[in-house]
Amino acid sequence: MPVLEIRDLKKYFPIRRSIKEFLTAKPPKFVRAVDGISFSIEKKEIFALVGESGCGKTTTAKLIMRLLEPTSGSIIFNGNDITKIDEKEYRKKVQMVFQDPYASMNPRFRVYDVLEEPLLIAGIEDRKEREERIMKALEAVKVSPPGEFVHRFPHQLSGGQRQRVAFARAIILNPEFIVADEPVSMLDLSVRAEILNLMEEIRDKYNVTYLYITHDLSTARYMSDRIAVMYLGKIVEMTNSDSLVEKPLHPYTKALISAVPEPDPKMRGVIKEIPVKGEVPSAVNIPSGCRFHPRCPYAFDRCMKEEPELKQVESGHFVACHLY
Amino acid sequence: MSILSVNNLKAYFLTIRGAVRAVDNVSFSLEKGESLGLAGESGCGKSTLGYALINLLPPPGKIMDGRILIDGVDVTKLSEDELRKKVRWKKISMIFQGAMNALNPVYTIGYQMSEPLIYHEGMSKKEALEEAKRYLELVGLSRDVVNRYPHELSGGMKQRVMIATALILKPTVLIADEPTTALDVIVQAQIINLMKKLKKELGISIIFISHDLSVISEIADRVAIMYAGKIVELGSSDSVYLKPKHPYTQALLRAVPRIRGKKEKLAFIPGAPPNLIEPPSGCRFHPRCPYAFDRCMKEEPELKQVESGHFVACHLY
Repeated sequence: MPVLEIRDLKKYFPIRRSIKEFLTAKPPKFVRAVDGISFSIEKKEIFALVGESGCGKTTTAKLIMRLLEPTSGSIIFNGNDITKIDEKEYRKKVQMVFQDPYASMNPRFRVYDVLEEPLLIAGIEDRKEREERIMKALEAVKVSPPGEFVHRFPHQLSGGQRQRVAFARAIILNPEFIVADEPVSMLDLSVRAEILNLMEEIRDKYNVTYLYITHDLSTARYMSDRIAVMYLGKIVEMTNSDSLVEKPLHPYTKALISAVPEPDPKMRGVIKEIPVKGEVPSAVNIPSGCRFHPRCPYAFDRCMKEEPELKQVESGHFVACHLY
Repeated sequence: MSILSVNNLKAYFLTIRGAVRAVDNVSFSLEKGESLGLAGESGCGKSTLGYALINLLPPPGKIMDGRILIDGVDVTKLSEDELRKKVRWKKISMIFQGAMNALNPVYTIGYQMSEPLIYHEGMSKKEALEEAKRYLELVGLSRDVVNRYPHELSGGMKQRVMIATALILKPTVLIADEPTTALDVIVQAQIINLMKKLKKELGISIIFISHDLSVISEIADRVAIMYAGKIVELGSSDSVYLKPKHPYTQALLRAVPRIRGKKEKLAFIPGAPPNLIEPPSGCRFHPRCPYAFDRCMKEEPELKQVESGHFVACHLY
């Protein structure tokens, strides 16, 4: 049984109408941030959701965290619809790590307070136990020495150390599932790998399952077992990470991969030819048919009229494109 | 002769707690038509160096010492007035970091682009607008963008406008400070390709500042790696990327996840970059360096040539 299953999830945000639009009774417009996505994540899997800014990946994360109510569709956690689970119980099992380690911690809290808060909310009354768990969590994220570390304020920590504390906070209630929203994109290259490796260690030690959200295909490939590529609120391709990178099928995935430069002057010019033109359109005016057709070099008649379904073309390899 | 040469440049931020030595004794030169990549992590002084080159350091930043020769003229010696009239934008211009927010939201693109032409070249509004349209075409935008306001443009289009504006007085040197950082990967590739094309067509020299080693390897002929206010390695892209000498460069390159080829375990550098008010003694990298020995703690390594055109500041060589 998958740990998390998402079924036809949609989230539309209404746009405020102008007075004129209101008086002429124009229908309200919506930003279709997440527009019918389905996937499931197995136990101990690292599942990456990759896409450019505005594709709906963070909205998906917020829906899973119950920070937003879905417009329609359902999220099933361990066989139960998450709207039917008590919110406090749910948060004990599902935790999140945010993108910006400089903004996700209260600047007036010491590390100890940052880590104690979830324990207090979870109703752990015994002070001794709280302290033990805080120390254990800090040891797990390998800050040394934890005894001295707990008295520091966030501004006294480097970006990498803060993100370690953020992971300690996420694991302190022994969750089953962690949503990591761009956990390394604000960090310097030299500490990025440190955090990514830590994520893997936490998975092995605590049996956690991850949803890893990123715009960076290289780290997604490095970290995850499977990758789903999102474009304008839809999943366009989904498969295990090696075949996604080595044998991408969707023209959008191909373009994304071809646009990634390499740190090797011999590979210079790998990003020479990018057939995709222009930029991502607004999620208010989503193109008819396949959403990618105005930018797609292979678009034909059918792409303009009919929206492609996400279908399996090889074992475990799903793509939403009329070419397949 | 080099078009730009920097000698022993020191740019400090004079704060209450002490001088932050953001750029400390940096020397390099740039040839005509060459692109130099300036790479390093946040806080290593790469943007400060960029600002110092056009003598536009925000206070409390100050150029303490050193020379910056552009076409034989030392810009550190010029008055603000002379700098404005003769140097900035005409000889050396800059695409600022976060350029997408550098445009004034209440003026049209045409107005903002023609301003330098009217003030510096004495053009009429009409002539200036015509020239602005020509530059918009050069960067791959349509001519009618002159009538648009910044909010009507996408991120990639704004970045193209910034590039066009930086080039409009035909500078010989262009400093691009993280020009692709806030952009999505496909747009980033489009902008890199545009900058390569412009470099070839206009013969300008580019200083490309970025934290992203992959982006720099796409565009730079030579690379300078900065750490804690100093250049630790400088050489042709081929030799720095393929035969990195400095332990810092070696570690950085092992930390880049790659999308092509075999999946390899990523390495990282333990610790964090030092505080630049009181940098470590000796080599500034020694507390994080796996090869550090006695001498590294005491004596600061000089940037010295170890192979033709390849300079390293490390006691191992």
